[in-house]
Amino acid sequence: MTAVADQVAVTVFVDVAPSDAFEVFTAEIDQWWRRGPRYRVAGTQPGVLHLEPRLGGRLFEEYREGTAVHEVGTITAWEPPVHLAFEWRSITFVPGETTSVDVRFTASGSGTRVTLVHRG
Amino acid sequence: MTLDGTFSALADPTRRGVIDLLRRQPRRAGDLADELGMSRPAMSRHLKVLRQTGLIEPASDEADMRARVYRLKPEPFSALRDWLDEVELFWSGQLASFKAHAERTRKRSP
Repeated sequence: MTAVADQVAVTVFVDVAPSDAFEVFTAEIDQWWRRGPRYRVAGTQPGVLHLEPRLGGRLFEEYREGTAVHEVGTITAWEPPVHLAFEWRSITFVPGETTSVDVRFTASGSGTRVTLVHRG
Repeated sequence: MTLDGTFSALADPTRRGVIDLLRRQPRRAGDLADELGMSRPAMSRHLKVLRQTGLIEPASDEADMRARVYRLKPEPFSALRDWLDEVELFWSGQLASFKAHAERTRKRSP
């Protein structure tokens, strides 16, 4: 923690290759992203999380049968299979307010260390 | 004051610098501007954001009662810590779910 605690870092070891970890994290985000009101705008209703796989692409949640969209943010770093970053706006943020999420995939032993940093 | 507001108020490096300085002792606006190499009007805008977010408050200088200093308000920082704990819990849960899915679908045979 820095003097002002304005960021959170979480690390996990995944027993798959970095390229697989990166692919699962991005292309299959809707499959592993938790469901329910704590994790999705759609709450308990069906919704789909999309991550457009390119720099400048969007991370967004589509819900109410595709008629409503919450845009979480834009992809600000796209360097498969090692680095991904995106803006993060919660639905409660005021316009213009944003935070950022940075994810690194590092080969470690037989798998990959995934380090996620969420900054204010 | 909202936690998102606190988070975004602290997103700016100058405002984080202000908080770091005020952590040590209350200071005048002019001293903060000098220390951080900002113009006084620019500093005044940053102080306004921090004041509106409820992170700092004006007080009288103990050495010179006519002068105004700024000091930290303690409450938002404990609220911010709670919020950061929540963010950490959120991502820990997400990454556990990510790990389970990745290993279920991609793990090489032992």
